[in-house]
Amino acid sequence: MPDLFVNFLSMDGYGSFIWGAFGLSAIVLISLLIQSQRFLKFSEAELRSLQETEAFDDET
Amino acid sequence: MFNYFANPTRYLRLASKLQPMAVLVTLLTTGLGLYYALFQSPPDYQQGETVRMMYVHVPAAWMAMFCYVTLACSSAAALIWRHLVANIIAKSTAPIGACFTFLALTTGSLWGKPMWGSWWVWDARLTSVLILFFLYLGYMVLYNAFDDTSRGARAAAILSLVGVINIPIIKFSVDWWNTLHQPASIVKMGGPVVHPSMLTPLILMSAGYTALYFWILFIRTRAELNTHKIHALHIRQAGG
Repeated sequence: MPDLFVNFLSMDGYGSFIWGAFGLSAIVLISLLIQSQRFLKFSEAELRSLQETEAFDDET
Repeated sequence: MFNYFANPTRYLRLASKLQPMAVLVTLLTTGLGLYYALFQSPPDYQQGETVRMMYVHVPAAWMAMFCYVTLACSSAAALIWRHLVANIIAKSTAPIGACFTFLALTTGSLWGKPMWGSWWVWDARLTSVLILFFLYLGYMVLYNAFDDTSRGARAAAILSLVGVINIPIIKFSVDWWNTLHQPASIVKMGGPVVHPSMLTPLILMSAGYTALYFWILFIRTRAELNTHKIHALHIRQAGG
């Protein structure tokens, strides 16, 4: 069983290239997704704060 | 229909309905695609195990071109009809397309080293994809280079339309010039020449990447529309 796992990771000696390609793809795409989600959260918070300020100014 | 969704409120309503579907399709197809790519598909008779890099390289390269065509079409709509949503779709697509192009270049390089003996060669396909990457970077830099954002958007849109000539060059570069890169084997006359055991994970991963593009696009366009509202509120508050 451990041999099977080691063979799978080694990918016939090309493991570093193959896992490098899969790993890099995962890192770049997940980072882009997280950055986009943060951008949305930040913009929503800023918009809410500005709208509250405006509502407060209108009342006073 | 195009004019109908040019209205930001209608677009947001549509995006919020479609986003959960994009999330579901991304997770299902990518999960299944990875399973087939790593466990079910056989090694290639010539390239051995390295062929598995195809399942992340080819979808990234397809998405790099798909995103650029989307960017150019949205830019054209923004220039002609001055639709805010079209402009925001173009702006939001640029970083996603740049990431896919970066991945096409780097995963191609990781595949090239064991197969060609070199990380990089200045052949027509690789060079034209590198130019595509610079076009994305140029678009983003130009968009933010002006104090007046509408001038930046217009200049970047014109650049994207000029750069669209690079798309057929990328597609046909392997036919027009002598190149180390293999010719088209999926999208070609007479149908794909890839065995179904390899075509299945490739199609699944491509579907996953496409759905991921829409997932990220919906998030970014919502954020950009918020930024637009914030800008408008700042102007209104400054005006008293």
